Amino acid sequence: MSAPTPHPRGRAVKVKPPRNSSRLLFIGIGIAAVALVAGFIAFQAATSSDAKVPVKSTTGEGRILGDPNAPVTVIEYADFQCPVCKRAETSVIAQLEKDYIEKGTVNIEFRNFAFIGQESFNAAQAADAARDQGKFWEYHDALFNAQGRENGGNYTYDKLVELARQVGLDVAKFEETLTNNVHLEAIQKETDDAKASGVNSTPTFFIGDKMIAGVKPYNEFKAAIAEALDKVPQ
Amino acid sequence: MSALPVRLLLPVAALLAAGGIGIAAYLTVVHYAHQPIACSSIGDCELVNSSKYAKLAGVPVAVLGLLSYVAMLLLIAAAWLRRDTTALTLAWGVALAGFGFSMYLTWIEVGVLDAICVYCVASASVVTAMLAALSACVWFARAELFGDGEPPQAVVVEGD
Repeated sequence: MSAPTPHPRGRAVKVKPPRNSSRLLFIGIGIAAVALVAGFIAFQAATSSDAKVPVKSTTGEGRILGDPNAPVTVIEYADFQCPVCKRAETSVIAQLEKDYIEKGTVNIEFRNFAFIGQESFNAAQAADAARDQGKFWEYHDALFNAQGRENGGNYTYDKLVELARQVGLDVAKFEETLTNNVHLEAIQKETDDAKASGVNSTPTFFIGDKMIAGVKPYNEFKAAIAEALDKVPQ
Repeated sequence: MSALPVRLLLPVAALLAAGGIGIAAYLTVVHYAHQPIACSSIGDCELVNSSKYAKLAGVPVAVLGLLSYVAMLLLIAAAWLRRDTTALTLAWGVALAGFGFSMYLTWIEVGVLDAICVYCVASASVVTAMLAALSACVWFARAELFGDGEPPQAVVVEGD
């Protein structure tokens, strides 16, 4: 390959070798890229976990978070199995709590729109059983934090009882409420009433006469609250 | 890198990188500003971006995307301005890694979360187009990169 060959002008030459180092660099970069992706995926699978609902800074009464006498009420229709409702908890609702609920100008009322399946009703009943013991919001957060695939076994009887134990409820009383389906009829009625009000997805919020379906930009919530506050008699 | 297709495709790749920077920067900003993503009516951006797959070791995937698009843009600029074949090869490598990760995330959206985020689909399309453009650049610049297709070059031997 490098043997001298005659040069047109009579000087000895040799053929320049192929650029093997460039080829190796190219192959090396390709292998490194594939290895990097494989490493990312493996690392993510090993370390990632779902975001948790932030701990509430305010307390409430029953299904109302914040001052029950606040001038504006944000009504939220949600399903405990709905992942976007969980996202609302970590974004919009967390922000509303900081900006308005802590200051006493707004409260949030949780209402059920249990439409995803049987486990939606299981979870809603369990949350109301916790409400009977004055711990609706603690149990509400625990339910969202235990969320998994829809109707995938995250809100079975045993799982709900375990959550009750973690939240510190009177488990015997909780189980009695759950077994007797004490709140089932009311939850069904609440869901039917929501449908009649135009709710067809979760989360859906009502602020004054405005309906916000889904987790929309926070400014939409701020504008609706400002409008509702303007209408409050001084 | 004097081949005409390379001179045409590198600016295309740079424009695509700029588009990718725009998408990733938006998702990064809304993440750190704790703002909902403005696409709920089109897809399930909230579901996708609030899932555990949207972070890697606590770092939002959008940030990683932003960094890789910026790296690709800088490498493409170096390849264009300095005719640097190593920079072109590195840009191709980053695009290959970005493409692989995007395909994995798209599979997660469709196969695991059963939800689509339009920004993620847009980013996956951008990085796919970038990989295609940069692969074409590597192909058309193969003579300068690897010596492929070049006639044997004569080198003068000193002292003759």
